[in-house]
Amino acid sequence: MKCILIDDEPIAHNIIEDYVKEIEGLEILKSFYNAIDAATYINEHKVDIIFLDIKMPKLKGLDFVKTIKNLPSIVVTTAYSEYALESFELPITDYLLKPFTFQRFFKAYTKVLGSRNRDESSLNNQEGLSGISKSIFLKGDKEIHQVKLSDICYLESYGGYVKIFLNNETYLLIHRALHFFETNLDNNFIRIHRSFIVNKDYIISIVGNRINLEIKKLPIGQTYKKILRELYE
Amino acid sequence: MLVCLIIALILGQDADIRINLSLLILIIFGFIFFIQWFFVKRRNLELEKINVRAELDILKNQLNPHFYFNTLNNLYGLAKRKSDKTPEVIMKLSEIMRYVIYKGKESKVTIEDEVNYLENYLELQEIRINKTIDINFEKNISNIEALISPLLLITPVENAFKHGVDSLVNDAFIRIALQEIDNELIFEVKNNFDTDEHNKDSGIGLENLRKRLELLYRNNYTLEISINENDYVFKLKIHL
Repeated sequence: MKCILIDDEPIAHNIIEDYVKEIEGLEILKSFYNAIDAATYINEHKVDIIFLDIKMPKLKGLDFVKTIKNLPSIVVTTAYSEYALESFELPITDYLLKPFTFQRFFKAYTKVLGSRNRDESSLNNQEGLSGISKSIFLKGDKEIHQVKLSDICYLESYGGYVKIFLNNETYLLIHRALHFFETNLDNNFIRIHRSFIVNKDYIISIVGNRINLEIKKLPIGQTYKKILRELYE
Repeated sequence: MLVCLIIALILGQDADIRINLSLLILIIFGFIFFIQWFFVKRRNLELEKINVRAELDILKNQLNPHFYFNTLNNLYGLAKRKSDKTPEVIMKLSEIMRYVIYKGKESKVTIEDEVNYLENYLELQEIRINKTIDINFEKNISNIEALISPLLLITPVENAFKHGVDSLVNDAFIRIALQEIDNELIFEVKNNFDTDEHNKDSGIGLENLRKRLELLYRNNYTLEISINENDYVFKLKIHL
């Protein structure tokens, strides 16, 4: 995921830059102090997320964003709580009130991932790819497997590979980064650790820092605890 | 019951006594009404005073909360990176808060206090903003102990940032001049703004300032605002 940030305060830049460094799979292409410079940049580069302070000079410069085909997700960062409900004209994925914690920032990031997945899966449906039970094609060593999403218990990062554990207690070894699956699987799959993504349907219980599945116990990473809490809150 | 009794009494007596008795009753009732009217009047006056005070308090409290949150966000960022600037910013913020919370409640403060507040505010704004802003604060005060109602002068300065500095990509300026001679105060704030984005309606801050001036210095102040091609001039004169 490639992001840019737009804010007229240098310290606000520092905060987001530090947060982004902690998230695997997210990188800042460039930071801007006004919307005009950013607008020119977005026109020429592929940007996935914009972190945007809405009280910015020349914000109208961003109006064109709506016309872009591959619309970047917009996460607003601001000290103004009253603008959240105002008819803000850009399509916004999340709204962060300054100052915000890393946990809150991370939540916004996962929201962006979620909404982008939804967009993509709805695209797949339009193409008539899937029936009731969705499936994906995965390229293995010699063959291409078709796997039903509902058959996947969890995924484990394994060097440059990912092991996909199925409910028949076998696994497939796929030459992809775990991050690829994080962005391309649907909402039923959640990241719980640097090395693990789990299918919610297979979770039996969560005990302390562990998630119990029928076939295995998995650890929960420090930064992902918050997201898990949302499962039951 | 009582009325029936009195009527019965009046009907029962001869004419002279009847008239005297009626007069007496009239006087007693009149007196009671007068006392009641007097107390109601006095209470209304008190209520009015309380209302004016409450109104002034409400108008004062319309200060911009975003300034605090933006400053806190900067502090958060400075502290996270363990910056040496952190203590200084905390001190300035606490001075500002002490002034707004405590001095702001008093009906009068010294000009010196109000000026310190403005200076702290300007310094925090300079830390917050990336671009170089040309800020100039000129003071010519004959008596720093002269008294003024608190938090009056911040509104135009706040507006200069909100509608001026924040709307411009670069080359923003704010020139502030404060003069006090023989209890005549002149406060002028001049700033440039982005001509595309400037909205002509005056904000709630300015509206409240006008109301406060009207309640505090009626007939003893003038407020002029002139919007030129690319600068905005606020000029307030008060006879303290």
